[in-house]
Amino acid sequence: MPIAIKLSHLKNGQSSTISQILLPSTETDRLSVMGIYIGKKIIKKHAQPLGGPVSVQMDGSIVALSSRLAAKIMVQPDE
Amino acid sequence: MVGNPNVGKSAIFSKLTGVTAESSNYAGTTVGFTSGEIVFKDGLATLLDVPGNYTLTPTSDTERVVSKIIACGDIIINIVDATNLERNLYLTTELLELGKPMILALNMWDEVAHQGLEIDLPALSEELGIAVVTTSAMTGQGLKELVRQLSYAEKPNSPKRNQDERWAYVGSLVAKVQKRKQRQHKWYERLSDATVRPFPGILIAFFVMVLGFLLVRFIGEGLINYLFDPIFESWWLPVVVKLGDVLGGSGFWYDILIGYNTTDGIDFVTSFGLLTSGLYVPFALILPYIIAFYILLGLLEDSGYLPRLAVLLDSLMHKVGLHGYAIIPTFLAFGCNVPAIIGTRVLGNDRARFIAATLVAIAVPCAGLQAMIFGLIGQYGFQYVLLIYGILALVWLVLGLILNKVMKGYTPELIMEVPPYRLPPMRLVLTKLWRRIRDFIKEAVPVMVLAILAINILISFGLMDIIGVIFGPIVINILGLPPEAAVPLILGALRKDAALGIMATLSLTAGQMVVGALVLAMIFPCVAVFTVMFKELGPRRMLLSTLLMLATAIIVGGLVNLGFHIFS
Repeated sequence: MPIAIKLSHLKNGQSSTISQILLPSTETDRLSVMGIYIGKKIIKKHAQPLGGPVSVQMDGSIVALSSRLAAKIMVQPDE
Repeated sequence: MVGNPNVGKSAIFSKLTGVTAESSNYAGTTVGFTSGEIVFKDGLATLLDVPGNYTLTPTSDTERVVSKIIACGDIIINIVDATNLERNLYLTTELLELGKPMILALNMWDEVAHQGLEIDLPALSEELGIAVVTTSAMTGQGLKELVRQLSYAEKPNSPKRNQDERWAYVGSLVAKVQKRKQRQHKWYERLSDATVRPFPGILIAFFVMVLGFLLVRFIGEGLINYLFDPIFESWWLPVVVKLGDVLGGSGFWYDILIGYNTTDGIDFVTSFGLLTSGLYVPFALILPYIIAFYILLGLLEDSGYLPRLAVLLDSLMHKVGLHGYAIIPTFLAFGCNVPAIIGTRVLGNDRARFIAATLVAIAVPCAGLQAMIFGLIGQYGFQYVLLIYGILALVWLVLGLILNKVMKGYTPELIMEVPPYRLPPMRLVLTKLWRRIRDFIKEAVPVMVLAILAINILISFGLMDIIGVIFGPIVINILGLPPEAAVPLILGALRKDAALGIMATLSLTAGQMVVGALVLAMIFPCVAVFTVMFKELGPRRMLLSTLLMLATAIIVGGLVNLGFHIFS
């Protein structure tokens, strides 16, 4: 089983599965209703420079989230 | 009518009720609720358009409103984006647990096949235990059936689930009813990617801004030079000249109707009579640019470009205590500051709302004022127009940096959906444009005409001189303007565009006009914006914001005046 890494460290275009979210429940609630929750498959699209937001794709939608949040989402890259 | 943001609720609502609810291609267009009537079982029923939300567990001010509205409804119409079932059905499961009669509308149905999706409708309906209809708000397909099905809406019988169980249920449901085919990426998906990636995204953003600026000039000047000016010059001018002769060329009525400022002949901008400037300024000077600005704004809103700009500029926005989403209300403010300040509701916390609203009220001129800046200051040379925009952008940035430093609290983190690009049907774009133009004619023009009338009467009674004496010292010494300039600066509280028109009658230099326009833009908002700031921010914060405006206007106006003295 591959080691979990931060979503923000994932390569652009790489698909992965969320394994852990290191945030208080107020933040995980906001994420989960957008479709970002443990067990979900997501693809990192790209990150803006200077600590800007990270765009991820799940199923049919693209969501942008701040790099601080992306650093608290642990993912396992797909083989 | 309940559903996720940006699934087309307001567009369906407008089609069903004939009541116009504002719609765009990004989340959060509806922040309050709109109601309208529809025919239902040989009678009338009230349809409520609820702001878009992802969950019934409230996470923002908007979502708190939602639960309250749903509680008073009898039948729930759950609108979902058929191309994005998984995320949309989470809210559906929450709604089902309420046990109210409900039907599901799969909107954007025309997009489903394009995206290589297949949805098994009978299976979905059976799994959820409610009727499912397919609709397209753009084409109107399925809307009749939606209304017909309302009479048969059934009470679902759903077990209560927790958050994890709901996602698990939605996952298995979608796996059962939806097939996704591999397919080629379309050109607009590649464009979508290019415009949100740092490179070439930033470059494209710059290009879009320049193009937008040129488009506004092209449309605005084109309408003035080839339509409105000829009409006024060859049809209206002879009538006014005749009337002037009849009135004897001077006196109270002449001054009010034709203008007090006609020693060099009648000039539609500077004469300032009710029948000269009172008609020309709103219709031939401002309206053409209002049309131009709203064409541009409509394109930006409905295509889905603004959310991409929000992602690109998120880092910058954090420096001023906001996150990227704040770019959307900021852009709306270039039309009118009122909806922009209401739109700050989606920003999450009070601190962000205060900063966004204050920056908008100080540094973002509304369409009317911009029209006058293009039309009047453009005559001195277009570099002065660019200078005004440049200085306002700088003020926005510097003041934002300061507010972010001194205000306690934190900036909420960005979580935002980036919608796909959509080409809205021409009819929809034109309807929206027409509604905005109609609002301008109905609401702004009468105020402007009244303002011009009030000024004319004030001048006939010599009250202008008194205002000049009281505020003269500040205006002369700090801003380098003649004392009479105090009058338009104060009247800016009524209509800023009309006020800049008065400023133009004072035969100022280019530098003085730039200072005047800048101070007018910043000093305090017009009555409409004042009212909405009072409601949205509360009296204390509105007062604080106003003091900031006064201070900024005088400091920046003084500095720019100094700059013109040094460099000329």
